[in-house]
Amino acid sequence: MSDIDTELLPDFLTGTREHLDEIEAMLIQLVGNPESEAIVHDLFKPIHTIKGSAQFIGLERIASLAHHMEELLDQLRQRNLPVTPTVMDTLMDGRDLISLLVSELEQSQLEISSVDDLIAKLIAILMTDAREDETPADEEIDQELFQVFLDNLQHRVSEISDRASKCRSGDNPLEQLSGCSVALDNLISSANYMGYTELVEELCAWKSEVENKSVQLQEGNASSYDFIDSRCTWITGMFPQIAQANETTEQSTDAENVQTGAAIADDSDSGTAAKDVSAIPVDDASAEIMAAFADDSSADMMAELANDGGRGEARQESPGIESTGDTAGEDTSGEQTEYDIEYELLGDFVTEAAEHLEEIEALLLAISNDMTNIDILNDVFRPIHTIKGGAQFIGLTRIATLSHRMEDLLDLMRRGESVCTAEIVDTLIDGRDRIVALCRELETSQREESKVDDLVERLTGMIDGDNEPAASDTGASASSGIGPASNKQQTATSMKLEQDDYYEEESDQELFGIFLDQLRDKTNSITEKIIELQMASNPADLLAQCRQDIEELKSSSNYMGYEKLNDFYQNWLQEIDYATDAAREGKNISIDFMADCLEELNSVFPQKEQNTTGIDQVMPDADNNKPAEISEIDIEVAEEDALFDKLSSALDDAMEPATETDHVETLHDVFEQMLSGKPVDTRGAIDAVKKDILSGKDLQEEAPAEKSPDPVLPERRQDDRRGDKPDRREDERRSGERGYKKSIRVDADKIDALMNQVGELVVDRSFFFQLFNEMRELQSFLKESAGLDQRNIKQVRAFTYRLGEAITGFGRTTNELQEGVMKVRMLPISQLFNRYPRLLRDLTHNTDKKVRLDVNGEDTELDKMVVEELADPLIHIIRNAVDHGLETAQQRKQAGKDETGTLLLEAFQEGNHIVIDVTDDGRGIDPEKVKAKAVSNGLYTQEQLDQMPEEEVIKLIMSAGFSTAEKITGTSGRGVGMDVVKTNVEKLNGTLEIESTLGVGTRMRLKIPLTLAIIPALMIRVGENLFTIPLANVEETLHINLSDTTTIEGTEVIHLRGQTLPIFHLHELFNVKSTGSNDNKAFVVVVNTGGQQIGFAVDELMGQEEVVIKPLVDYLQEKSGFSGATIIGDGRISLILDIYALVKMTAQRQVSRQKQLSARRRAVGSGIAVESAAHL
Amino acid sequence: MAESITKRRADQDENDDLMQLVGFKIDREQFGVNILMVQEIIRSAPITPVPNSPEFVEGVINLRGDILPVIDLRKRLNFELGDDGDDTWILILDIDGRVTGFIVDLVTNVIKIEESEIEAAPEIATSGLENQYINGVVDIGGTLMILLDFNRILQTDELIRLKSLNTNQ
Repeated sequence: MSDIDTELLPDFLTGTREHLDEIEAMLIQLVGNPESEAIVHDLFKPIHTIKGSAQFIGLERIASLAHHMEELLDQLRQRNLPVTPTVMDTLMDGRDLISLLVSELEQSQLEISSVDDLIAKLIAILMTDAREDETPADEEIDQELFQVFLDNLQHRVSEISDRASKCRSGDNPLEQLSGCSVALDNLISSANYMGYTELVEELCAWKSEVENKSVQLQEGNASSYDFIDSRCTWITGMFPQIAQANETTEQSTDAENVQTGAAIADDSDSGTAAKDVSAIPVDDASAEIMAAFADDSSADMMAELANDGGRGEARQESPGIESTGDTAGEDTSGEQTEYDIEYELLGDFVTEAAEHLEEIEALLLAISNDMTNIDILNDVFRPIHTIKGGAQFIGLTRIATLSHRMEDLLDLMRRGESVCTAEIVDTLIDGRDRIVALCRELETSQREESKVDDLVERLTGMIDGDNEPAASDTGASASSGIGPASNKQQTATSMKLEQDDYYEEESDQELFGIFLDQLRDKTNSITEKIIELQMASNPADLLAQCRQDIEELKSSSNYMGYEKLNDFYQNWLQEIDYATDAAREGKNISIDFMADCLEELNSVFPQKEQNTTGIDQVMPDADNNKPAEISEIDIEVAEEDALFDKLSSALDDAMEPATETDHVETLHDVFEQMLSGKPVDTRGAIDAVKKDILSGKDLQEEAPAEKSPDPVLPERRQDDRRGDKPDRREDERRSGERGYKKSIRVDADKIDALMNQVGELVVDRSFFFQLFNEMRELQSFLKESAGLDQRNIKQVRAFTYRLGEAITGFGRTTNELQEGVMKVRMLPISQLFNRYPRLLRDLTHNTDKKVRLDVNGEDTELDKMVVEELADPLIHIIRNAVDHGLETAQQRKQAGKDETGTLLLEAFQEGNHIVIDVTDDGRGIDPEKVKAKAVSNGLYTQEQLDQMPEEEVIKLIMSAGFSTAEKITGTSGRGVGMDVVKTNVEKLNGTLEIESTLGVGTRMRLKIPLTLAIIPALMIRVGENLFTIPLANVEETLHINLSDTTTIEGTEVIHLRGQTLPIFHLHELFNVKSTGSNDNKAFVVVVNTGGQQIGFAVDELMGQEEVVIKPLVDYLQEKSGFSGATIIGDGRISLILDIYALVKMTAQRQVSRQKQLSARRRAVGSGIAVESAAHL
Repeated sequence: MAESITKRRADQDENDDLMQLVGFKIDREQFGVNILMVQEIIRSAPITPVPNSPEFVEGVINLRGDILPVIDLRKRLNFELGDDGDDTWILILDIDGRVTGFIVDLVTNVIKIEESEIEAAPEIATSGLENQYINGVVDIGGTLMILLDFNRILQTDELIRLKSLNTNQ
């Protein structure tokens, strides 16, 4: 815990918060759609990321919790567990707990809350279906055997725990114990058979405990049998962990988790559990068992390749280091970190990779939404490939290996060989995340620390699982091929230089050896198939097999970075595809191209790098020159054929351990010759071998080449054309992809500062305009009064003109800058809306209401500050809608509505405002109930209310005192917190409207200005003071005769369109001198504050302006009636009216005036009182 | 011994004990403020009054785009209202991030003092000045210079209380 990396913490927290939001949203989606694999899948990513980074930073609790959540999700994903409410709740709790921990971290840099309970819960869920849990996802494990073992284990363990409970109930404990002991014996032997030594030891210990217990019993000591239960739990708790061992990031962490898991299982199982299962043995045991699994698994060829690739590169950096020669199952990653990385280039690489990774992530997510889209697959390819290349170049083996495997997998999908599944995408995302982690490590420690083996294995598993059933065979051949290759390290190194001339990347001999190994293997297999094909009745199947072989070849050539070879394979594959299609349609097909291609492969291989123009040319050549220059080509082909055969035979022999060393030497010799392009006089020597190996096959292989199969030719051409098309599309997409959004995190303060500066600029702009006007005045003054002559005035006029130009330009730029900066502050409202599905879920959870949330226009952007300010009001509104607006399912049914209520969250822009609608199709607001409440609250009399239009009545629910009074929940519905909503919205210069139809639904409409920082405003003058009223509040302006006003209860009012409008004189409210007017007229600004209209009498309307709001110090802003100030063109300050506060002030005044009034009425005659009140 | 320690300390860092004060006057009283708090000193600027604000808040000024409140120290410290005149000065002080202007009659000079010269305020308040606003006093050539506690002066709860008194009136 003390090791938390505090430097990275802030980043982690921000990132995690985002992920948590994401998780929440997805969990809620999942509730609505429990079958959706895609969601489960998407969920995986953020949780995994959290886990990864938490582990990285050292946040054990978050990491462990996230890990368990991830496991649960994995089970969901594999359909081993149904998505039940319990599962969902637990996951949600998990999310909340992480969220809590994140908050704690923010405050105290410590994880305070305990995660154990929840982990126990997660484990409990995981174990409910233990049998399936234990089905390992790992292909390498002998599944059948393991399943048998697990079944047995399960059976025995349940037997034992049965017996234990019988013991407890006193049902012949001795016999039960001996039964346990027998069961344990059975288990021990099967564990022994599986080779799980540690497990065996544990079981033995258990058995001896049981025997001790029975001895004790015989001696008459009553004792607890809890230890049995705890052991059982431990065992079952351990196995699901193991099943996933290969998937988890670090074995050590996993072991810890196992430990935690087991410990918790202990706790949860029996309070008095004897803790004879000490944590440390458990830890060891599980680690051991994992290791055992790793040994058991027939190491898969690609993993080997990858491992060795890494090692090979290490050697490339430091050829002097002697290899240990042992590769299988060995974890070499630890050593790999020691090689030299090109540190100088590292920075560049990491930066670049970060961009690519971002791109990859976006694309992968796109794939997860659209699994069939080959275009995206193609897109993903490029950045991964770039990363791979860069990593290889710098010497970052792990990244290179991992990205390579990812590339392979993608390639399979791109070709259509493998179907893109959620699991694959997920693995790819994990891969990406791992690379991200590695990059981060590189940044901090210049080393790749995280291991990639698990992911590489996973990826390889997928590649092989989909593609190569015989993977283990190949793996075996590969592993046996490796040994000798590394033994021949020195030979290899000595040859390296020459090969370097041709293959820059593959100077690693070992790797090359494997590559050749495979090449030989596959070509042989293909050759055989070609022969079969010629007489086969079912060519499609055989073709499919060939296809797999070639696919394998392709991925390894891809790994080696032989792009031309890769292209060649690709073409070949396409041909096979066409042939297969043709065969399926029952047409006669010519399989000559197979042989042709094989031939070409042989010819291409040695000259591949020399032929700079690439395979594209080689291929037509191969076609064209056959009839024409047959003799020459033939010789060449034959020669190379011979070489290839020698190579084949060498490799064949290499399979025999006793002689392998020599043959590898031969192999290298041959290859050296081939690569140098020299004609090699090996024919005679090889002929014999060739005949041995290929016997008659070579004839068939050569024959078609000489025949030059014409039918294939046009077909191939066609392929090429077809092949072009996707490329072009790719280009198009790439141009679109340039628009791919990149974002940076910026300190909000910086943006605010920028905003302020821009505000200054806006003020300066008005200042300049003013100067320009002054200049014009000056010009006319000079002309008329100073009597400048024409020539002089011309100069002045020219200057004025240029000044005007300059100012216009300046103004334009300022406008753009202002808009730009404002946009920076804009956030999509989805940030807000995304919080509400959770709210809705919580609100409807455990109620008999069903609510569906529809969201519209979540892309609408508005100022960050506004977004934050809106969060709470919207919560209130939604809560009201769900609590009071929407009926229960039962009620809805009765009312003839759909059982599921709908809540629509909608946002859109309307001019300078954002409108946010919250619409429900609930019961609506009953105006009668509101009226009744208003009467009982004493706000209005029944008569007043009866005259009120319905909308007015509904607006009453927002009035202060109405809602804050007692709960009206029971009676009318809406009301709780509406005052809060109104206040908040008005603080934002927004308005709130309510529309409701009884029985049909309610709509709450929030109208919020786009931004808080710059607002359009109406400038007014009162005496010498300039004030600013946000235009958002202004309904209209009037020019009235003051004689038209009447006084009702001490308040001046005028009649406006049949309604009374209270008028307040601003100079009275502000205690400033009014210049008044001579004609007894006044300007009135009518403002609207959520339902209430009030007129403010002012001296003059100065016009409309865009103003920059600047805050006032708190003691000037609170309760003063001002929300801020702005600087106008000439540098003067104009205070911005806080209409809401002002209306409140007027209300207070009204009340006190009424009090005074009634007091005076009592004291003096009523007529005088009215007059004096009017002067207050 | 004590002397030598003091001396050594002084040698180590001469500035440690030195403090520069900006002197200003209100009425006949001499005040001083740590120069580090002084952001700038301006001669009269157009002050926009803020209605409904505490009496001693003269208004707000536009200082290169920042809107700053201006407090009339004379009013704040309950001096008798003199002729405000045009020749007032505004001291712009940064009081823990709260940049505020204070109107004073006259800014006099910058003086250097030793921190040790600062004495606690005498029990009897000077010119009816409430003790709570005084950090200490320094004897400058026979006259007493008062060091004001501007944090206290700006204390908001008091300001707000004062304001509410004000509005209730």
